[in-house]
Amino acid sequence: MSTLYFLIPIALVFCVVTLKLVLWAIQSGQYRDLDRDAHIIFEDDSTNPKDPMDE
Amino acid sequence: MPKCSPMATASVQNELNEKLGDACCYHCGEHLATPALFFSVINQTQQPMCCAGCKAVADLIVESGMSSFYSQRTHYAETPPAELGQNPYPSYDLSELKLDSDHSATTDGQKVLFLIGGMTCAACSWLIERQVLKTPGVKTARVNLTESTLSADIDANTDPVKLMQTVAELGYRFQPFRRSERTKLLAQENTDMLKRLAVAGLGMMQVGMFAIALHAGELQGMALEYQQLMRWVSLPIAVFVTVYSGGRFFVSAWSHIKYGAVVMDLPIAIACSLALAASVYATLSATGEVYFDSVVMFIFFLLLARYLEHRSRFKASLSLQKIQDQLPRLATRVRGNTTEQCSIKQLSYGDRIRIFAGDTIPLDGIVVRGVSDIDESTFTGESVPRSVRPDDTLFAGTVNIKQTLDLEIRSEPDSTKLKALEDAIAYAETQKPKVAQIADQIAGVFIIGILSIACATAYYWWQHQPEHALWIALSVLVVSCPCALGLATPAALTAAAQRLRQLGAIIRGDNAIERLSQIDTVIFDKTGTLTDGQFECVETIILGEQPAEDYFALAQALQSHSAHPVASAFSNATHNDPTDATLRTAIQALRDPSAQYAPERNAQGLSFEHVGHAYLLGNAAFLTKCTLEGQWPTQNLHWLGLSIDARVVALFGLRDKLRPDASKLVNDFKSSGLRTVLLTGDASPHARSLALKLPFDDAAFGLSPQAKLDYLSRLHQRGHKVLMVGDGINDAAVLAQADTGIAVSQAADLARAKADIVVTNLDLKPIRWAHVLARKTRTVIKQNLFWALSYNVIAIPLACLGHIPPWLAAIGMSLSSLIVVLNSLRLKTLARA
Repeated sequence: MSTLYFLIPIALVFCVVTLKLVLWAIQSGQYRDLDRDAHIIFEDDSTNPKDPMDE
Repeated sequence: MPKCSPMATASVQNELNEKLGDACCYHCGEHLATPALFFSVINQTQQPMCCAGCKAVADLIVESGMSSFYSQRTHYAETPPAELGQNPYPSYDLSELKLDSDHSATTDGQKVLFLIGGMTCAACSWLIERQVLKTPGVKTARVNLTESTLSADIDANTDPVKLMQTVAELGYRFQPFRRSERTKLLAQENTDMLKRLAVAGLGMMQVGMFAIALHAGELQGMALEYQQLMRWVSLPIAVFVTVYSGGRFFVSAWSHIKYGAVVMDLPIAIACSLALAASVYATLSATGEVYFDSVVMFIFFLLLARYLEHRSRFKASLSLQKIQDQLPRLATRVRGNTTEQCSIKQLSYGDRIRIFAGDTIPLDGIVVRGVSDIDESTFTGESVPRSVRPDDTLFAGTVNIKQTLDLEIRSEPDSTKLKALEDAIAYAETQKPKVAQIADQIAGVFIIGILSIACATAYYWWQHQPEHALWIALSVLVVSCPCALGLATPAALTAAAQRLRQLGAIIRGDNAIERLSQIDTVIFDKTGTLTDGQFECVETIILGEQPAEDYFALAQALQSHSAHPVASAFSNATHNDPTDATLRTAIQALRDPSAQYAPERNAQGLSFEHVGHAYLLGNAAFLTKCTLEGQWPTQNLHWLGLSIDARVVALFGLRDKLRPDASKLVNDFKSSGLRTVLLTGDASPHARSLALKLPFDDAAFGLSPQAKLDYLSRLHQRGHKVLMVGDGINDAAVLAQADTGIAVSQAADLARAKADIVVTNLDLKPIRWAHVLARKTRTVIKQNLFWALSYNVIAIPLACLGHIPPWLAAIGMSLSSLIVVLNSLRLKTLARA
């Protein structure tokens, strides 16, 4: 059980790093448009149905 | 016309509809009453289109190889305007653009920001980005769907106006955009809230982990040393979260107490600090219970609920309303003997502009010609109009209510008028609806009640089971939710206003929806409202000696000073000069912008005197003193007579068309149990025959504006709630006096200013939708209030009895607010039934 004295601080360090990353992402505007980004994955240009005569 | 309901996929919906023998426009989802006249081939399938505008947009999308737009969209597109082919942005040049938008030069080009109207789903943003990127010179384009903006990096020598045209061709509205200070502030607040939420969320995970260890340890037996370790680790995290994420609750509670107001943040702050203090004490003394996990979870759920609420309000505040109000307004510039339409932005100091009756004065200036009355109520609040004549000063934002004036501009074209309009809108937004005011008062009383109940509960449990007293009191404080009560009305009204904006109407002030839901009588104006306001001259009877074209030219010259819809019948007259000297001088005098002549105007006609001759143009009642050879024709037309020196020389038979959706509108109102009334200033047989075609319960003809008001006040005396639908200056008073006023598109500025709801589409459908939506909104508000009340009635006694632990109370409270918001958001998806 005494490993807890060692492991909990390590976990806390990870937590602080994660927090820093999240705050940086928010500050840099990555969460400004939550409506659009949810759909970007569907926007694949290769699925564009093209007229074969055009090629 | 109903739209097809939101679709699973467009093609499935369309197949369904076709099986039912009821097809939809593939592009905008409009129901097709008749077999489709327009078709576009999309993904090798022929699809029906409702109008040329939709077909043009669909063809463009297919030609650009972007037809996957149709398989990816989740909502139908907006119906594009009919006049799509024309370039709607001829009047912007680069310098104006820089003035109007957050435009900035970069090292290798320029960065521009636009506001886009008409985006319905994520596929729209994809479509716009692709299309803009194809324009030569565009390096990056990025659509922000939440803000409805497009930001683009373009080459230094590329004209941003081209981008606007590109997007307009796809059927979207488009305008340079400058973020207002308020918008920037809201965006900043959005970021701050997200940060606080993130801290609370991460903190909740950590403290929650330790809490699970503690609870498990209680069951299995855990050494005090390790219990204390868990507590000591939780303590700093919980304190940090409370200070960083929950700090706002304390600040807000305190600043309200200073002014003697009680808000929901107060019980929240008390609950947080009590629980935290007790836990810190328990940790320091190594006794009792800790509630660190409850505190952090509580703050997280509260922030989550507030963030979601803030997000929906943030969206509403980026109002697309602006795109309607700020579109370059046109002015009539006078240059020598000719007039031309130009954007207000193109005017400069010293230009002469013509202001027709009913128009808003766009810039400060002095009168150089004409006599009229000016309504300055927007500025002074004074409802009595001011009489003006040459050399008098006029202010931007005031309204010319009587006759045509020529104005010389004496101010730089800054945004004086827009400022005034924005102030008016901001004022309307601050008006809280009555129901919301009552809810706020109730909430105040409610919170004091909750504090007392919590104290009483704590006292009771302290007497009997002191170890439970603290957390039960906390639960009572937390579980009660006046937020749901406070949100019930504004959430629904905001959602309804947003939906209505999408459907093509703007609401001024929240009270409008509330009142619209209660109406039992609808009054319609005829000309310009039920009819499309465009007259055509179909019959001419000449009684004088001169050729018809010459009399027509005189009528045209007279009517060029009038903004009455009838004037549209004469707008396409030829400009040839008559041979007759008297006629010629009169026409020249009327056309000469530098001269001091303008015809006198009243409800029935125009009169003009020039070198001893009297010219009158008006209806039969206006020309009673003039001699007429023979009788007024009995044909069902709107007849105007032209008289020179008290002798009628020509009769013009005018006709106006019923709007295509007018009869459906009246029928729909009628079938939902409302009284329908037609009040028109038109006394002609044509008006009567038109009224017979529609199911009116009552109709009155040849009414003056005052008579319309009298009719309205009689209805009010009998206790009726009245909706007025109108467009003209003569309707403005009735629009203002009626319980709800709706001004149709192309209405005079004065009518728009007095109306509660302004239709921005070119048709009448939004009027019906507004009414349906208002009734629906009322139902939703009732549901919200019922839910908020019953939640509290059930949850508070349960908490007092000790059945609800604090963390569950926090979830319950947040959920009850969320349910209110979600229920209100249903209004945003209301189909165009």
